[in-house]
Amino acid sequence: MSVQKKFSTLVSRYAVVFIFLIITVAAIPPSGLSIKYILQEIITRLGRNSFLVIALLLPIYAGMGLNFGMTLGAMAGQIGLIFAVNYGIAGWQGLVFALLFGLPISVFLGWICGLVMNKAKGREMVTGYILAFFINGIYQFFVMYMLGSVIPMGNKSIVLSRGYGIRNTLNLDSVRQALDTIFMLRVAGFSIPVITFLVIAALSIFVLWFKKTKLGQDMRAVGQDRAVAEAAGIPVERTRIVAIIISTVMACAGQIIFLQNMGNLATYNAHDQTGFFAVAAILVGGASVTHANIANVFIGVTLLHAMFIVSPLAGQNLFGSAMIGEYFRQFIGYGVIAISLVLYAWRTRKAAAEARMSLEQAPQSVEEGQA
Amino acid sequence: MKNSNSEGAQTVRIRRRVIRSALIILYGLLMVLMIYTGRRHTILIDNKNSPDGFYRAIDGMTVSIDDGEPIEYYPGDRDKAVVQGQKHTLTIEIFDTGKVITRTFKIPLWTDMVLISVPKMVAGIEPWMEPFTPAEQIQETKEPDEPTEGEILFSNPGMGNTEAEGLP
Amino acid sequence: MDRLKTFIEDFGWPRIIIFLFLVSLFIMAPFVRVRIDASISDVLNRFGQNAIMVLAMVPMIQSGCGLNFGLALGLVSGLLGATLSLQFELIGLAGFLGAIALATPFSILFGWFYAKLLNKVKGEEMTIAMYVGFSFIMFMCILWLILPYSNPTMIWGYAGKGLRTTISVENYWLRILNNFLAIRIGEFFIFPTGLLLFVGLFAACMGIFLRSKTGTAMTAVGSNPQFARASGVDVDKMRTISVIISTFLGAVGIIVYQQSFGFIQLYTAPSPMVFPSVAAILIGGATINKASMTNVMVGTILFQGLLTMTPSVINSILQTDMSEVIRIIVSNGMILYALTRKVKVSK
Repeated sequence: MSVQKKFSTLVSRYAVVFIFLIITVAAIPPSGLSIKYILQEIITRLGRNSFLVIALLLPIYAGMGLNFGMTLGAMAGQIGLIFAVNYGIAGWQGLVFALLFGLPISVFLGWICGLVMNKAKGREMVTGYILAFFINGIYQFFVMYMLGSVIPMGNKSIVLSRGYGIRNTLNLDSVRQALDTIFMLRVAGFSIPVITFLVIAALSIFVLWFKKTKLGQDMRAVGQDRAVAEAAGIPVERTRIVAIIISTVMACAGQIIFLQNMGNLATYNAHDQTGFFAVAAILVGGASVTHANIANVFIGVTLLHAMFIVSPLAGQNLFGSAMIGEYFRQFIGYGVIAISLVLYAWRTRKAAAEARMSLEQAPQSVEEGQA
Repeated sequence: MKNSNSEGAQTVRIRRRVIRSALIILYGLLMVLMIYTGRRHTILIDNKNSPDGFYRAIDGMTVSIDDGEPIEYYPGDRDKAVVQGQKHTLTIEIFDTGKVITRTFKIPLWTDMVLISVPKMVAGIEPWMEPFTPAEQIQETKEPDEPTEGEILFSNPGMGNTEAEGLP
Repeated sequence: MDRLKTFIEDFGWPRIIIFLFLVSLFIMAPFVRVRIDASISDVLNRFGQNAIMVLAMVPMIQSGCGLNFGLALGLVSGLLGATLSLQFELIGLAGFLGAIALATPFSILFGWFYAKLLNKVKGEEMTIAMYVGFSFIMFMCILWLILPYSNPTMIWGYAGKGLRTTISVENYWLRILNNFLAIRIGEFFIFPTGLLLFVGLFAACMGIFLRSKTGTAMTAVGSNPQFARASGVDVDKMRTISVIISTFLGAVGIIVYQQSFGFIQLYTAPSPMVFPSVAAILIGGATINKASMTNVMVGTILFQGLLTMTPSVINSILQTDMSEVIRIIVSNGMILYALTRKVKVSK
């Protein structure tokens, strides 16, 4: 490839990262926030969100695109937390209990998600997105009508005054920051939740290791070319489902980590934006619909959240309106996903078109060679 | 040849089933362990006279639970401590006599709240720890969290909750 | 028996279930003190309100661009037209038609850019459309705050800057269509003749268009692009036309909705209007690459019927508001069903 082409490919590949970097850095001065504050916020948010973003890696690897269906795992985690609070289990034990409780639910939901996505090959992302809303409806029904009535809740303080259904904000004081504070390192004026980061590191290592296993290699093959993988004897349908199940389980754990840091649970809304933020983060980090690695996760979370930290205040100070800053933040958030998807689709089509063209030219050169 | 192969497959199947059952049992045990070690209890500590004169409140002491801060108690005082797990230690130091009493106790698993009457314990009257069921338990957490049901759901496919509160 | 079976297969079980559910709701209504005449009036009203937005789905489905999750662009054009119409103090029929006229250039412009984008990303249109739509809505949110509107009924009272979230059209063109030749039977039943005539007009126009030369070319592009290209049809141009028509219909649709509903809703309000339109046409029997007028009519009636009847009936029975949950499950379930169906080979 010519130097010019290489450069343009590089730019289009990392365009999103560049745009974000520039916008964020430009917004720091007008925001009036100190670097120290921004850094501490980033540390906190890295601990809070990274797990959820890592959950997106395997489906991308297996060629299923951005798993908007990870919200299903988040819902499972929330149900786990509801029961942990119901049984009055506190501290990190509460978190482990929530995870153990939510795990079978997330495996089940992940299995459903995988099945549905297999029926919508080529449209996995939209399908995952809609499926998340569909299951959300069932979740609402379950938490609003079944819990407390058909399934009795011993802890009456979390039940609505009408007698059934969970309250719409659940105080997670019993498990608040239970993971973060196991060992909170306070150094140079920063607070770093060591155990949380260790957990994230462990997950990252797990993902790296997993990619080398047979199942991981199978997923990669399926991701690159379904037909070839099928011909090679890999159970394509099953592999895809497994990828989604693992992703959903990770989302379950990730949501629990997220919520323990937040300290309270908006029972009916907390999971609404989970998929969106995770996807935006990984795309900002330079991932595409078919390629993503651990670095994308951390770069993405850092950049996305740095921008989210500074832009409301920057918008307020620049335009005199906090609302504009808020809208701007949302605009950039959705816009970045749109641009990433567009760039990716455009690149793919260009590559396919070029491949077609080079194939068409080949016989000519062969003829010339022979002549 | 064929027979031995199918036998081998059978052993593998049985082994798999055994391992899977063991894992499931382990899973369940882990959950139970979390419940036992994680369950939170509230201990109300009383320093009150008995209504019928069997024991008298202690005139000045400090009480601490496990490794907690010793708190001063005078007659009529009541305070509370929130603990995790079932086994705990109660340490009392009485001002007058300088006596230090230590007692370990176990809270029943599914009891949320217990009331410990220190005078009773010092006087040696059993039981000095009783389950406590406050009638007002539901009252305290009332209004602020009450949603109207229309408000609860904003789950339209679309942008969902765009308020800052929902942002991580 | 065989014919029944094929009919059921074609029609799809979810659709049949929804239809039976709706019928049962109507049957239950009088027993739970819900007036049937008021309900039917409501359903007709809501049908008319939403039908054109559902109609907007048809061109892009036919041309192979998939479900128009980017309908937001058309909706925003309509909002621009409506707000401008109020800004110019246009009332009555002039106000309504003025809104449409003012919205048209925007919808053509937005539609054209949107089409160019979609043409570059054939195959992944739907997800991209969603996010382009959302970010555009957010961008407009900023604009609604800073555009120099001056009509006092539209802008915030104290601050004086920026449009209100909800603007009433009461003194301008409220129900201008609905009340045209409306038939009133008793206290609770109003037949919104004008509205339904307008909807019928647009549906008829669309039907005629689809049978025209351009329309058939568009359909060909959607069902068999190679054949279309071989026949000399400019695929990209057809897709662009379909997108522009779709955006325009979205604009008209939301203006019709507003005159019936009574309010112009700005900021993030357009976003929850997109998915119901998608769900409606799918309930009506459309697939990802084939949609007809019947799909629009049947789908909108079923969907709006569900939305109207469920709250009143179920809430009376259970003494609780389950309508939101049911709506979420049904509308998303329908979209899911459509997404997972095998794309039918064109007959």
